[in-house]
This record gives sequence, structure tokens and C-alpha cells, in this order.
Amino acid sequence: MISEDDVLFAVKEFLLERGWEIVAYRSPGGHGGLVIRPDSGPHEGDLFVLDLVAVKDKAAICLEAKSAADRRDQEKLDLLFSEPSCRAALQSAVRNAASESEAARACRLPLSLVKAVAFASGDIAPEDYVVFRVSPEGDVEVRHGAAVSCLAAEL
Amino acid sequence: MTRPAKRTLTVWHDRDRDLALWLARSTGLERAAQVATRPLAKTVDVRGFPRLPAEIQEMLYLDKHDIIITLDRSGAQQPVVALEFMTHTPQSQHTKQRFCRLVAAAERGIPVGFVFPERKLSGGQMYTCTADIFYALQRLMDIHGVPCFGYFWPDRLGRIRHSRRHPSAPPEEGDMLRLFHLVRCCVEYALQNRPLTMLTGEGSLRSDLDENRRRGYAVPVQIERYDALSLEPTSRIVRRLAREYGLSERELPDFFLGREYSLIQTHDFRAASSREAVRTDPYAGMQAFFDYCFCRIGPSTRQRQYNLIFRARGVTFRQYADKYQTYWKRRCPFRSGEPPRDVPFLNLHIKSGCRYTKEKALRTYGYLSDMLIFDDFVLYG
Repeated sequence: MISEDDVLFAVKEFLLERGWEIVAYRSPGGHGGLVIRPDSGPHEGDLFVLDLVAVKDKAAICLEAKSAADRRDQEKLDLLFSEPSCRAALQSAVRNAASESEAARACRLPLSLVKAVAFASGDIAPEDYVVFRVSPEGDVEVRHGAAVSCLAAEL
Repeated sequence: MTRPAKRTLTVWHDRDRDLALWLARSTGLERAAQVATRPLAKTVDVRGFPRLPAEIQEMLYLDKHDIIITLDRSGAQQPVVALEFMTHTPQSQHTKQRFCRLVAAAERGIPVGFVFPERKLSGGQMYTCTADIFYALQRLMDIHGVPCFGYFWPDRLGRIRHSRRHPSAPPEEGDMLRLFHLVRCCVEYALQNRPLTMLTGEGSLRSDLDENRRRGYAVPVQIERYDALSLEPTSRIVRRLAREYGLSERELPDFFLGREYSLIQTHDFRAASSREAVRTDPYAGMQAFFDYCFCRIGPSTRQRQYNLIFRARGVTFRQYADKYQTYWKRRCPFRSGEPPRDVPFLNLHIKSGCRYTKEKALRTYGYLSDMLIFDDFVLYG
């Protein structure tokens, strides 16, 4: 079975080839990723880490990867995007990460954050997500719900 | 005339293929040999670990490296270099707790490189590297006769930077260029069948040797500077053990009694949860660090100027034994009495017992300590 590391690597290569810049990345055995620490609200002090953040123009893809589709990834991203203090911390962390990259100009733009999941087996297909499905050969298939169809040309 | 077939190098990684490819591409390994990448299995992975080459299993005995490069020699894998990468803030124990991994390689005559930030901004505070890690690396190098170098992960004003193409890796600049040179030298020596111990005499690594020594001796590294340490006459410790534990001097081994002084590393586990009653991080790595800075005078753990004693306050023998019992109950392939499905795992146990698969706390403290002192028991031998 294709591993989480392979899923993440395949999506990273896919995005790089299409001109996206990776500003945060955490392989299963490595460090890094995007660290989000809300400083207020019900999740004050909690630590969230996203596996990959990619930036292009005004969009930032916030992605969680697993070997098999996992609803907990969706729940985590939904929380980070919906709970006000979590969302503020997420936006701040993405801006910081982007500011350290070649896409530094992006941090001054109102970045549009997009939820994304990647996996090799199983399925989840929420409407407001970009979904990357990775084949055993490492090929990537992209799907997106109507809510994020604006990104179609970039993927 | 046919050209000789390219040799095969494998870049083993800790579930970070991106880092392995970064190294292979940045060092140009593909020009010298065929390169494959493979993930390392954890010692607890009953399917993956027994299938690793024996040379790799041996290196993972103390802890797991981020990268190991091996050269295929008719199916056997010769380890060529081992690397460790750290992005945590670099102060004090964060670098030391990884020292076991470096020791596991150097003790087998394999060069090591350790990459960590010189400084890192975290929570609005700038953390800087404690230079004593370079001293320990120098000691490791002096004792085992292979390059053991520290390198700074490139940063910009305390924000560590990453490769654009390989975002889990450092950018290809600064100290990383020296790391690439070390890797190329190690591979070249192996391909030419030259002993890796000859690398310390390699002219093109001279500046790295000098730089590591300069960083290592920049500040004095002394026992008194570490709160967890005390140096005491061994005779005084023996009297105390007799008084507090009823231990007779006659029970203690000659090598222990023969060392005039003993270095005691004390840590208090009383606040720890029961699951972490005898945890290894960061203490086991620190113990290896203290061993090389202050005790070790030769390649084996018997060659020490001081006894190395670990005192685990708040830990009873029962809690220590639980670590073994957990392994026995969950993973020992002999426990059920039924033939296991995973034969290589069984075979590993027949050949090596639970040497690799028992809990890390048993392996590391057991390997490094001349004596372990618990609240109700003393382990020695």
C-alpha cells in the first residue's frame, strides 16, 4: 500500500509542476509543517500542525494527507476554518510562512485559504474541498467541489 | 570494451522521501552510482524491521537516524554515512537528546553529520545553539576516528529556511555545501574500497575538521555547568549504596570499583505520568552526550575514566519492569506458543532475543549506564 509519505510527496511534486510554491511541508517522519496555536477562544494553547501549505497568486491550499482517507483530517480542517480564533491563528501562520518564501508578495495580499485532503485509498468528497487522490504509481487525480471551482485552472 | 556496471547506493530515510531525494540530487550521487530510496522501519514494526539489512538493524539499536546511506556489496549493505536533521530550537537538550543516534553510527565506524539551527526564533524569543554539542562531536570523532561534524541549518534572522524544490530539507547553501562534500567523500571512499576511518586524513575535509574543533572548544565544557551532574568518589557512592540499599561492595564489578570517581546523572521522574515513568527523551541522549564529554576514553563502554551512573528519582523497579512486560505481552512472538505469521520476526528473536524490539528505555539506559539507581533497586553488572 502507498504510504502517507508517498501521498504527500506526490501531491507536492504535482503542485510544484503547476507553479505552486510550497511554504510548509511535514513528512510523517520529519519536522516542520504549518504550526497553528490559537491564542484565545475554546482552543487557546492547543497545537495544530498542517502537513502542507502551497501558495499561488492569491490562493493558499491547506492540506492534510493520509494513506487512507480519514474523516478526522476533514474535521480538523473544518474546525480550523470555522472557529474564529482558530481561523485567525491559521491566517496568521499562513501569512508568516508565505512571507519567508519567494512568494513574499503574497503575504500582503488577502490570501484566500482553501481546504484540501490527499489520500491513496478510501474516499471523502466534501463540497468545499480540493481532493487529491494518489494512485499506487504516484499519479495524482484532482477533484474539487463547486465551492472551490475557482481553482480549477490552477490545478 | 564494456563499462563496469554502476554500483547501487540506497538512501534510507525516516519516512521522509523528500529529504532523501534532496540529498541524492544535491550531492550528485546519481552520477556516481544508481540511487534508490527506502524507508527505515521502526524497531517496533514487526513486519518491516526484521526485513531490514542486518547492518541497518544494528545501527538502529539505540535510536533511529533521519538518513543512512548504504552501498550494496553483493546484497549486503555497507553503511557509508548517517545524518541527523533537527529543526527544533537548538538550545540545551534539543541537540543533546539526538546524540544517541550519532553514537550508534560512530561506534560502528560510520561518519556522521548533524544539521541543526544556529539560532531560531520561536514565540518571539530567539534561541541560540549551545556550543557544547560541537565539543561532544569532537570527542566522538577523536574516540572513533571517523568524521563527526555539526552543521548549521541556514536561517534568515532566526527563521530557518527550506529548499524550494524539497521543502522538508534545508536550502542548498551555507553549511549545507560542506555537508554535501562530506557525503560525496564518504561515498567516494566506499566506492574505492578505502576504509572510512581514513577520511579524518582527507585533505579536502581539513577545514571542516578545524571548524568543528574551533566551535567545540569555543567555550569550556565542564561538569559543574550541568545541574543534573555530580562527580563523586566511587568509594563514597559504594558506602551510600550499602547504607540505603543494603548492597555489599563484594557484589559490585571490578571495573566499577576500579574507577576512582563516578559521574552521576540525576533526573526526577516523579511528575511524569505513569506511561512516561521511565521515558528516554531527552535523558538517554543527554547520557550519551555526558558519556562522551566526560567519561569515555575509548571505543567501548568499558573504556571510561569515570563510572557513568544514571539515577532515576521517582522510578521503582516495578515501573522499569513494566517496560519489559509491555513488550512481552504485546509483541514477543514466543508468548502465545502458536507459530507466528511473521517468520522473519520470529527468526530475529531466535538470533537476537529482544535486543532490538524491547522498549527503547531498556535498550539505551541498559547499554550506556554502568549503574542504574531506582528508588528501591540498583541495577549494575
